[in-house]
Amino acid sequence: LCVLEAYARSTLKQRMDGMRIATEFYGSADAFSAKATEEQTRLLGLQAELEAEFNNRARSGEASLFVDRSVNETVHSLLLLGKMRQAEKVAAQMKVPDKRLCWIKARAFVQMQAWDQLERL
Amino acid sequence: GAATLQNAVINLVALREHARQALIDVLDSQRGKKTLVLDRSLSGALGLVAEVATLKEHGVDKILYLTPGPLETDCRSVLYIVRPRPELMEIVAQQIHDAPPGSERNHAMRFVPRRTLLCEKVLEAKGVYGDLELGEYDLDLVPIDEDVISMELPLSFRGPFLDGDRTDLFYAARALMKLQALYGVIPAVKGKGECARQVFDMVARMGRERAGDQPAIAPEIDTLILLDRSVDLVTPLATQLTYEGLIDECFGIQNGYVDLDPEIVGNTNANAAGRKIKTALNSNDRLFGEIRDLSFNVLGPLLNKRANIISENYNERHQAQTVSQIRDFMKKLNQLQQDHHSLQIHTNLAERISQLTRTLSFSHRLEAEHALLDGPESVLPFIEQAICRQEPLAKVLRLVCLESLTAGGFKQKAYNHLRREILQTYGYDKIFTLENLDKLGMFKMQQGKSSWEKLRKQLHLIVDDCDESRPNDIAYTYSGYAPLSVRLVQYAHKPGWKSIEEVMKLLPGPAFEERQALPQGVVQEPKKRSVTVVFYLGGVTQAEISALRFLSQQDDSRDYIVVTTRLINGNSLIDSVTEVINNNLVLG
Repeated sequence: LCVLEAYARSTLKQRMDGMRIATEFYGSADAFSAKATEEQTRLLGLQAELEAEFNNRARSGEASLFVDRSVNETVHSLLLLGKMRQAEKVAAQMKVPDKRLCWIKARAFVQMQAWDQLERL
Repeated sequence: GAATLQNAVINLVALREHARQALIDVLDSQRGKKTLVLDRSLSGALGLVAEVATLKEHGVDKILYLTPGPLETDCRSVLYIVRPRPELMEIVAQQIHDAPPGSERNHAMRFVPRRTLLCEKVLEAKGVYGDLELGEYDLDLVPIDEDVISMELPLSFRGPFLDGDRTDLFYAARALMKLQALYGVIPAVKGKGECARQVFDMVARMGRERAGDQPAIAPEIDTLILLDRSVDLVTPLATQLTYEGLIDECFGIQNGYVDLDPEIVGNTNANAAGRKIKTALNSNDRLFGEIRDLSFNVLGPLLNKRANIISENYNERHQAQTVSQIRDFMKKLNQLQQDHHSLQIHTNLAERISQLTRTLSFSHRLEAEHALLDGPESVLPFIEQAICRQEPLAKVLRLVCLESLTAGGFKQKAYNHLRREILQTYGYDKIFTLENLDKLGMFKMQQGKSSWEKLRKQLHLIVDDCDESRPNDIAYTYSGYAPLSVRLVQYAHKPGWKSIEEVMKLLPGPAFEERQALPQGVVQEPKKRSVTVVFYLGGVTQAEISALRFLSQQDDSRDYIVVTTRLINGNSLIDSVTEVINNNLVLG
C-alpha cells in the first residue's frame, strides 16, 4: 500500500522517499518485496542520472527515455544511444543475468542494424 | 445478427424477450426523443438483447458512449445506462455540470443490474444527486447462443475469488431465481466450491422468502451444477484447440462477435480498408455451427470437402433444363450463396489461424503445456526464454501459473528468480499482479506435494490415443487433455461424485448435492431428454463449452446448457487479476 502511495506521488523525489518508507514497511516479513522495492528505488536513482546526462530534450516535457522504465528498457535505450559501457554498468548494478542481457543486446543491435556487433555476441 | 435461439432445448427466446421488454420499459420511462448514453462495456450485451431499430422505435434519437468530456446533444432528455462504477459517476456528474445553461435538460440514469450505495454517494458528493432520476435495469442473463447464457460481468473472476467481493455472487443467485421463475424450480442441485455453496445458500434463502408465490411450472431443467472457477484454474490457462477456442485465443470473441480484418470477411470495399468488421459467431451460420467445436487439426480437409460440395451444387445449374428445374435451382441458390459466403469467411479465418499455429513458437508452447499437464515436470528454461524474448506478460504468466498449479508451486530459489526476472523485464509495478496471483494460489512457493498427479490419474485427464477426427472423449478439445471442470460434470451424473470422493477432497471448497422441493401440486414429468444447467462462477472458456456440447451429443438422454458469469480465455483471466497502477509521476 505504501508503494501504491508512492506511485501516486508526482515528483521523483517524493516517489523515492515513498519507496524507501515502503521498503522499511515490508521489512523482514516480506524479504522479497522489500528487496524488490529497494532495487526499484536504486533504479530510479540511476535513471534520474542517466536522464540528466543523455536526454537533453526531457525538459520540454517529452516522454522520458529512462525514468520509470523497466530495467530491460533502460539498458535497451542506452544501447540504442551507443553507450555500451553504461549499459553494461547498469546491467551489472541491477544484476541482470547474462542470458537476458544477451537478448536485450540482440534486440537492440537488430533495431540499430548493427550487424557486426550482433555477430560478435 | 444475434442468434435466433430457435433450436434451444429450453425456450431461451423467452429469456431474451424478458430482457428486451425491460429495456423498452426503461426507454419508455423517458418521454419524447432522447439521447442514450451507454457504458461501453454494456454495448455488446445490449446489442444481443435489442436492435438499434427497436431503440429508435422507442424514441432514441442518438446513441453515444460514455466518455469524459461534455455531451454533444440537443435532446432535452438524456438517459444513461451504466454499470455501477464510481469512476463513471464522476464523468456523468461532470457532464451534468457542463450542460449549457438554459438547456433544461432532463437526466436519468439506469444502473445495470443494481444501484449501489457507493455510486449514490459519489453523485451526492458531486452535487448532482437531485438532478438525476435514478433507476435500475435488471439485465442479468444474456443468451449468447442456443446453449450458452452469459451474465457478462466484467470482474466475475476477480471479485469473488481475489477481492472477496460477493456482489457478483448475489447477482448470480438472483439470475438463478429468474431462471427458476421462467423454467420452474430445479429439483437436483450439485455444486463444488466456496462460491457455489454461497450462491446456492442465497438461492435457497430467496426461495424460502418467496415460498408460496413460486410459479407452479413443471421443471424444464432437471439438474443444476454449480462450479467455482477456482476448482479448475488449470484448464483456462492451457491453449484451447477447438476452432472457436482458437478464434478466441487469436482474435478475442466479445459477446458472440469477433472483429476481423476486411480481407478475411471478403470485403474489398476501399472504404472498409483498415477497419475491422464485426462478425457474428453463432449457430445462425450453419457451417460455423458444424465446425465450431471441432479440433482445429481436422478443419482443413473438412473445409476443402465443403468447398467441393458447394461447387458441385453450383454446377447443377448446367443440368437444369426445364423451367421447373431452373425454378428449383433458384430456390436453392439463396441458401447456396449464404453457405458460400460463410465458407469463404471460415476458410480465410482458418488460414489466418493456421499461419499462427504452424509457427515454431506455437508448437513449442503447446509442447511445454502438455509437459506440464502430463507432469509433474518443469519447463522453467522455456519460461525464462519467453521472458527473455519479452513475450506479452499475460502469455508468460499463463505458463508460470500452469507450472505452479500442476507442480504445487515453485521452489523458493526458482520462485524468487522468476519473480525478479519478471519485475526487471516488465517493470516493478507488476509486483502487485504477482501478489494477486500468489493470493489466488496460482503462482506461489511450494508447500507440500502437488495433488495434480493424483487428479490426473484418477480423472483420466490425459488421454493418449485421442482421435481428433472421430473424438471419443472430451480430451479432443485440448489435444489430449480433458478439461477438469467438464470431467467433474461428467462424473456428477455417472457414476456420481461420491465415487470420486478422494479426488473431490483435493479440489478447493466444499462439494454438495441437494434437492429442492417443488412447489405444491407440481410434478416432475419424465422426459426423453433431461436438461442440465452447468453454471460456471468466474467464467468459462469456449473449449469447455465445446466439450459440454460433445457430452450432449454422446449422451442420448441429456442436454447441457452453460450459464456463466463471463466468457473467458487464459489471457482475459490473467488480465482481470492484473493490477493497474495509478502512476502520477510527472517529469521535470
